[in-house]
Amino acid sequence: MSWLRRNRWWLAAIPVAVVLLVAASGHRLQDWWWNTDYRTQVDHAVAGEWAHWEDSNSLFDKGAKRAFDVRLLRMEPADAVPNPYGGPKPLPKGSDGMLVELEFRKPVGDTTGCRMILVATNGDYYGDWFSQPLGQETCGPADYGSEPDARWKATSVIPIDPGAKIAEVRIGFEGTGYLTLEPPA
Amino acid sequence: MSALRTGGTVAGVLAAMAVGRVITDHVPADGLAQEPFVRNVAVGETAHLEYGEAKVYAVRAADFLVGIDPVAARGTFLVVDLEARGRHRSSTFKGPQVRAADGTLYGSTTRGTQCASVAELATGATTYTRFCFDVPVGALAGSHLLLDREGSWISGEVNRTEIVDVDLGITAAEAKRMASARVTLDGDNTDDLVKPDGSVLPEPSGAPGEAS
Repeated sequence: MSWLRRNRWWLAAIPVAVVLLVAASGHRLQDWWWNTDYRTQVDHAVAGEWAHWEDSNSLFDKGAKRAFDVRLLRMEPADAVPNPYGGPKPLPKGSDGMLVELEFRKPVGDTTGCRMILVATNGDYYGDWFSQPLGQETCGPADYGSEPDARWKATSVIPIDPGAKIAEVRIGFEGTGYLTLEPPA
Repeated sequence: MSALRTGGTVAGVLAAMAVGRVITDHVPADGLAQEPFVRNVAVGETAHLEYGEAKVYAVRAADFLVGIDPVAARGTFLVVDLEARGRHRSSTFKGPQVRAADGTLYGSTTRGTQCASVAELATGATTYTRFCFDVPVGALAGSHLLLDREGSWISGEVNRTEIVDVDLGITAAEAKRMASARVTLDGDNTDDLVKPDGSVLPEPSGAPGEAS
């Protein structure tokens, strides 16, 4: 009886053991990799068309429905940052600017915490700052009242690397879902 | 023949165990799995990182910072001005630390108005951040600034992350001069933070209520 034949069951168990080994720590992928980026496209719209967001995973009120419509009204290069408290501010040195104007309607539930980022053709993100980019509210209404406005616009200028080409606008929250707005051709 | 084969098998197993023991004893597996990638730079040099760039462009000491009231240092305030920029994705330097020559680590303070706890590594824009450390006067000479993404240094989770180690270039003579000067850094004066090239400064990075 050859060595391979005598040990055939142990040899057969090796791939099973390897699969179990990987699966045992596989849950870490959820936290350390999958949850760290936008993964699931909720909706998609071309410039000027409405995209619809709907989920039930509000950060502060689990299970509460959260919904709105959003569309991209304008996306164009800009050389200054809007400033509601005075004249426009110049862009930081070494940055180009991309003006993005969004319109929102039909909000349901708590839409605070909404984030808008620009995705370049090479996959780089812009506007995904820890704080609000250059102090701008990029997504939500400028003034949060007790009742959300039925319709509002959000205009911001996102600093981008010189020469960067923006492929799409993404809207999302803290989760992995996002919706895509295509800039005008 | 059978006894010979059994003996050979036993010897083989023992040899394999011995080899395993030698490997676990002499190969620093834990160290290899946990040690961060350290980028050593000096003041004025840019650290090029996988996730961005960082440069310390000014190092000063101050007896007082301006906060809600003037803030006095227990030792002396070591004030470090940083410029940083993100790559591919925005991230942050959280929990910066100063390592004294004797290895003691000091965390930053946000008691001064412009003293941040977080530096923004923003894609598309260079940001400027001031970190302040209240350190004993004797800790100035030979001190280093340690920066890493997401504060993993401070939590001990530096496993294979890329960190920046900035030699602040403070000699013993320089430390003596810095410690003896009576300086108040006026954090409210934005001009104090404007760079010589006239770069526009974004809002100070940091958690709301901490940095401003």
